[in-house]
Amino acid sequence: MGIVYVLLPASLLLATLGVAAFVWAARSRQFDGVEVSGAKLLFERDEAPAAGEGRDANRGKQS
Amino acid sequence: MGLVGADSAADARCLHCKGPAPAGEAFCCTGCEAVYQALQGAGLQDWYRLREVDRDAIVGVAARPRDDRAYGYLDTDAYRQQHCRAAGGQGGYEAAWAVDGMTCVACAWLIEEVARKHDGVEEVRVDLLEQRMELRFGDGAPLGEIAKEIGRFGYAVALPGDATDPGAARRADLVDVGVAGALMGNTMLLVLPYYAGLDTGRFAILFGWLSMLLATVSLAVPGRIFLRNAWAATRMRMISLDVPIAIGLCAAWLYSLVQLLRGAYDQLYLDSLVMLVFSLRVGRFFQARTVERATARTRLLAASMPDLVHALRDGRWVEVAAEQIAVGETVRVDPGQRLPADGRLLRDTEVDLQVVSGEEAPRRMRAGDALPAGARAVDLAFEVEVEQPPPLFASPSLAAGTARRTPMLADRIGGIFTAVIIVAAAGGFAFWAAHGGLGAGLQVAMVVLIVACPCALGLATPTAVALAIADAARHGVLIREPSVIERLGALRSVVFDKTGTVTEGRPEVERSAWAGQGGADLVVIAALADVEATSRHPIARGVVRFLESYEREAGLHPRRQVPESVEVEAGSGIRGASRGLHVAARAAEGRTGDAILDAFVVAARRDGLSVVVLVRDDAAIGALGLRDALRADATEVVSALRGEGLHVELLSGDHPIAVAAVAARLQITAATGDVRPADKAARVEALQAQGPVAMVGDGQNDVLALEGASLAVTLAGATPSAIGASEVVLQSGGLGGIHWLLEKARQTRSTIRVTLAFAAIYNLFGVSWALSGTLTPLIAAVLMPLSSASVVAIAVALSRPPAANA
Repeated sequence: MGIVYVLLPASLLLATLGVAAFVWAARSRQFDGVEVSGAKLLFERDEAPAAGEGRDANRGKQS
Repeated sequence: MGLVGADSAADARCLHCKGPAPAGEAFCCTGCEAVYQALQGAGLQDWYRLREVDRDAIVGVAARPRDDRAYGYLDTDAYRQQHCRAAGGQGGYEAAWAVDGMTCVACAWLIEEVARKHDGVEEVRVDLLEQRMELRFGDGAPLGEIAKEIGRFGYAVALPGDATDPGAARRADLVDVGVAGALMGNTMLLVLPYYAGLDTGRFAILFGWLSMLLATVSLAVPGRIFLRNAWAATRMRMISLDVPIAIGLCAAWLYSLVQLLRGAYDQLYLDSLVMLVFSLRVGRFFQARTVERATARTRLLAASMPDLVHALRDGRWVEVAAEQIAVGETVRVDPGQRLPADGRLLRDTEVDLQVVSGEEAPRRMRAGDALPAGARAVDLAFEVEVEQPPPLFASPSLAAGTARRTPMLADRIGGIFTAVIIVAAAGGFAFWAAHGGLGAGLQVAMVVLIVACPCALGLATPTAVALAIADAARHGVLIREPSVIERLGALRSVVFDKTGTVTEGRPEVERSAWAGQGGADLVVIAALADVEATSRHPIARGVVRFLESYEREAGLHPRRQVPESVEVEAGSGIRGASRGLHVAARAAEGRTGDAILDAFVVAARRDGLSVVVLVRDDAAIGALGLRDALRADATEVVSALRGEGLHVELLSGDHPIAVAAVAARLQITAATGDVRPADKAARVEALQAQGPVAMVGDGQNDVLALEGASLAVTLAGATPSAIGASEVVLQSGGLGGIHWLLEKARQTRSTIRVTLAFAAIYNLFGVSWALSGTLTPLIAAVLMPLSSASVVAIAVALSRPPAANA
C-alpha cells in the first residue's frame, strides 16, 4: 500500500498539468469563436491541396 | 444572362440569396447580382459552399447601408492614436471593429478572407457570436479600403460602442469553471473510500488533508466570486443570494477544518463544498453567456463611426474627422451630416435641431446665429465657424441601461432566507449546547448552515431567467438586463413615442387631388420630382415616391435630373426649376385658388393628414395628403397592452393634430403633442408615481425619457444613444415583441416561484434534519446535489416556450 504515497502525488501532478493546459488554452483564445473555426477547417483543404501541386500558385498571400 | 440552370422557370431561385427570382432571371435583384459578381471577382466563391454548413446560425441585425466615405476616418492618425492599441513593437497596431450583418459561418469566413488579402494585415480574427472582428496590422494597412470592401459585400463596419474586449470576461469565467471541475473530480477521488465504507487506516490523515488542500483552492480561486460578492453586498448593507451561499461555503470549510484537527476524518463536508462551487459556477457561466449573446447584438447596434466633415484649410475644403476640428476653423456640413462642434452660422439656412431640441420640423436660422453641436443640415449644406472644441468622440454608454438594476426576487428572498437560517442555527446551537454540550451545539449549528446553503435558489432563478432571455432573443427581443424579467411584473403604464415607434416614420401619400380636369402633365410631375428629390425631409421623400409611381403608372421609367435651381422656402417647402419649368411643393397654407383643392385640403387636414400643395408657376395644380403609416402591429399591441390593464400613453414632439390623429387610430386616450425631450422625461417621472413605467422610443429626443423610465424599450432602427439607454431592444419582432415579452416574463416569474417553493421545501427538510442532530455528511452529500439538480430540471421543464399564441 505504500505505493499510494507515490501514486497520489503523481495523479495530482497530472491533474495540475491538465488544468494548466486548459488554462493556457482558454487564455490563448482556443475556445473563442468555436463555430467559425470548426467549419473553416472543412475548407482549408482547397487552399493547400494534399498533392502539393502548384495549383494555387496565384492564390493566397505570399508573406 | 443564360445563368439559369435546370430549374424550371416556375421555381427560379436567385443564385446568390436563394430567394425566388423572376422567371428567366438568375438573380432576384441587382443587389444580389452585385454581391455575386464581387464574390466571383475576388475569388471567394467558397462562400457559397461554406454557408451551407451553418445557415441561420444567428439572426443578424438588419444591415444598415453606410456611406462609404465615412470609412475615411479609419485611415486618420486620430483613429490609430485613440482607438488602436500598439502591439508587437515596430509600428504594429491592434484594433477591434463591430461588423453588422454577419449571419453565419460563411460571412465570418468571407470577412476574414477579405481583410487578410490586404498588405499590412498581419492577423484577422472574426467572432461570429460577438459580431466583431479583431485586426493586427502594420503601418501600411489600408484600413479604410478594407472596411469599404467589406461594406461592398453587404456588411457594415463600425467602431465598437464598447472598447473592452467582451471575450476577456468569458475566458476568465471558463478558466474558473474548468479549475472548479478539476478540483471537484480530484476531491471526489479522495473521499470515495468513505462512501464505499472502506477503512482508510493510515491513509485517512493524508486523504483528509489533501482534500482540505483542494477544497481550499476551490474556495479561494473559483469560489472567490461568491465571497467577494457577499462581502460587497454586506458592506452596502444589502442582502443578495451570494450572502447565504458564502456563509454556507465558509461554514463547510471551517467545520471541516475543525474536524480535521480533531481527527474526525470521516466527518468532512469538503466534497459538498467543491461540488457546490462547481455547479454554481457552471450555472452562472451559462447564464452569463446567454445574456452575452443578447448583448453582443445590442452592442453592435450602438457601434458607430465618427463623422467626417469638410474643413476649409489653405483655401481648400479638406475632409477631416469631426474630432480634429479646431476652434476658429470654418467647416461645411453637408445635407444629412451633423455639426461636430458649437459654432456660428455663416449664412441663412434651414437646420434640423431635433437632436438638441426634439423639434422635428427644420428651423430657419440666420447668418450669425449660434448653432449647437448636433445640428443637422437638412436640404442644403451650411458653413459654420467653430467656436468650441468638438466634444471627444464618445460612443453611447452601454452601461446606462444597467444603472437601475434592482435586486431580484431571489436576492430579496436571500435576505429573509439568511435571517431564518441564522436564527435556526442559533436556536440549534442553544438547544444542543444545553442538552449535549458545547461541541454538539457547534456541530449542529454548522451543519444547519451548510445544509441550508441555497444552491437550489442560486441555480434555479438564473436558469429560468437565462432560458427566458435566450427564448426572447430567438423571438427578436433582445434583453440586456436580466432583472427586466422580474420588473415587467410590476409594470403599470407604457408610454410610446410616435414617429418611428408606433408609426413607420415614413409618410406615404394616401390621397391626391388635381386642379381642373384631373391628372397632371407628366413633364410637370417629373420636374416636381426632380426638385423634391433634392430634399431629405421625410415628407419630401414620400412625395417623390408618389410622383415616381405616378410616372410608372403612365408607362414612364422614372429618371431624376439635377434641377437647374433649388431653393428651400422658410419652413414650409421647396421650389426650383427643372426641365425648363418653375415648380414648388409646399405645406398647405390658406387658400389655393382652386375650389377642388381647397375642399381636399380641408378634408385631408381634418383626417390628420399632412398636406402638400404642388405648384407650377405660382398656381396650385394639385394637392397630396400624406400619412405616416402605423406599424403593422401597432393597433393590436396597444389593445393587447390595454387588455393587460396597463395605462397606455402617447408622447410626441410632433404637431398636436398629427399626434391626436395617430392616437385616435390607436384608440389611445392619453396623447400629447409638441412635447420636448425634457418634458417627456418629466411626464414619465410623473407617471412613475403611480407605478413602474415602460418607455418605448427610438429617437434622440426620447433618450432622457428612456433614461428616467423604470423600463426602457427601443427598436432596432433607433439612434445609438436610444439603444444605449435601453434594456430591451425589439428587433425582428416589432412592437408585438412587448406583448410577447410580457407574457414570457409572466411565465418565467411563475417558474421562478415554483422552483423557489421547491427549494424552500428541500431546505426545510434538510434544516429540520440537521437540527435533529442526526444528519451525517454522507446524507448531506446526497441531499444537496439532488436538490439542485431537481430544481434546475423543474426550471428547464417549465421554461419551455409557451404554446403558439395568436
